[in-house]
Amino acid sequence: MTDNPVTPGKTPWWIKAFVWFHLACIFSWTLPAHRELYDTTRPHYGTNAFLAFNAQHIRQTPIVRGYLFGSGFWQYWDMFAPNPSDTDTYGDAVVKFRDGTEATYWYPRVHDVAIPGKLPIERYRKFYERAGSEATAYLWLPFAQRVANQMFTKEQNPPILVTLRSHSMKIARPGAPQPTEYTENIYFRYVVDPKALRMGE
Amino acid sequence: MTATFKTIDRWMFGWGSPTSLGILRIAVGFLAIFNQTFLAWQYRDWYSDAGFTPRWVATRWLGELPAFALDSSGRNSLSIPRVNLLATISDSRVMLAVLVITVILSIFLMIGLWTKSVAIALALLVMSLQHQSPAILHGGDTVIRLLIMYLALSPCGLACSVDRLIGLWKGRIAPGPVVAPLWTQRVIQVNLAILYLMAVWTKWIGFTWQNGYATWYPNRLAEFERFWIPEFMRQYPMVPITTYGTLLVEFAMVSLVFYRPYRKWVLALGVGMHLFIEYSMNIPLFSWLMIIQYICFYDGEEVTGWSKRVGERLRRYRVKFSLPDKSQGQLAALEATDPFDLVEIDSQEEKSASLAAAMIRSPGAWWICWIPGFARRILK
Repeated sequence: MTDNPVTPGKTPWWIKAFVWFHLACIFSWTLPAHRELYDTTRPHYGTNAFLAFNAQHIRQTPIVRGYLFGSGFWQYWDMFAPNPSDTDTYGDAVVKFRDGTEATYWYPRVHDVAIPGKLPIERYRKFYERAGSEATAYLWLPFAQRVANQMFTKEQNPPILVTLRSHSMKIARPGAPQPTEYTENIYFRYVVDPKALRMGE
Repeated sequence: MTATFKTIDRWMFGWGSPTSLGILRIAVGFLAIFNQTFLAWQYRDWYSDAGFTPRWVATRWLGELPAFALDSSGRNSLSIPRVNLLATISDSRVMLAVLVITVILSIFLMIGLWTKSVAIALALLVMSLQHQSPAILHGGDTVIRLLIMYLALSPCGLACSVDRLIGLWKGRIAPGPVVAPLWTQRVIQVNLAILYLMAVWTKWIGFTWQNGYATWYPNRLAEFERFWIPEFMRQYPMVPITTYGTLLVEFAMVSLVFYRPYRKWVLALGVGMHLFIEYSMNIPLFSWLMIIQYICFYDGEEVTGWSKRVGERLRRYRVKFSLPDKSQGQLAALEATDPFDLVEIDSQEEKSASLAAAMIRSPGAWWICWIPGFARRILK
């Protein structure tokens, strides 16, 4: 335990330098950096010129990225931006078993549970926001494998096919009629690898 | 110009009471308990090679940059190692044990026991857990990681902590006000301001925010639903009011909040905005994590002054507690549990309030109240 200091001291210069460097890196990293700003073929004006310069010449440098990623101080602050999502989406899966029967796998959905249960399962919604996306299609296989494992409850009747589905509904703009039905989309089929199956996992 | 720099330097690197950091530490520890418990409960899904996010997903997720974000030569040659003490662990039971350890460390952080070591250990483990499964992170995870890391760098254990009580009790710490460097508190303030600035800036690029109907959507997404809100809150004219209101409040949190006469009003608006989001939308912990950081806009001396003023208003509940044969340090430790000055400890007084009455009035002692006989043993 350290004795409590009773008189103010002086902060060393290297701490001051570190603090300003740290804040400058965070500022540069978190500035808006959307796709158009990386376009070097056209001129950028006004604040966009500043943002483009930052995106192309500062943000991606080894110093800024290296420091923030290496130290763990990386961060993103683009909540509900540039536009909030206008699509309600949830996912589930249809699992086919060896005996030909089918069952629907319920992936935790915030809307389906009572208020006290909503809080802990929000992480499933956040993950599905990514796992259901084309941009991160590499998440589909482990997702389907997990579904297969969870549905593998009878040794003699293992799952043989997992079909991942998303259900989405656009929220209409103000004044426009609101659709009431969700659109179903099958986006991945996984023929279950028997060697990868683990019961009860 | 030099005077301005000197003022900023004094503000940024001045010394003062770490009470605000101590209170922030308690709140962060409390919220971390929930966050890590939820993760521990779901460990098979997120921290197992048989789960939704096996370890190779992290490598892929963290190693990739979107194509448009490559450097000017079109390459992404920079491979940055991330801090992950758990990278080689494949056994999900070990991961569960690590998650349980983070819950225990969060409790220690909250009460301020072995604060420095605990905060550093928790920061390393939380960072490692986040790098082990980055595809599942939400905004609350990012905020909690940053806050724990800042607390690990700060003197947050010097105030409102068991460390301080033990130090006073054993005479290792001199009674009286504590003074410590406050640059971590300032960094938290500035980081929070950067957060709000970027939140406004990135929103302003979007046409729904510019045209005043962005809040039309989140209130209608079934996946965000929480408590009931009156229909008029989801309709015009409330939609543009809440849309532009959000931008204004967030911008005020970057600018006006640093102007002391406006500070409490801006913070009140920020609290109001986050409480509405917390009530109406299922976004775990984020609003609370934002609100607790507002304490950093107040110096420790202001917080102490406020608690004394509250204590003055509650003076009719003051009691006298007689405690003979205690050293000055032990008395100082007991007084340190009583931020509102509602218990007067007197070694001479014969008529004494009950122990229960004294402890109820001392919030700093509440954490031991529930252990039968513990407080009585200490006092004897």
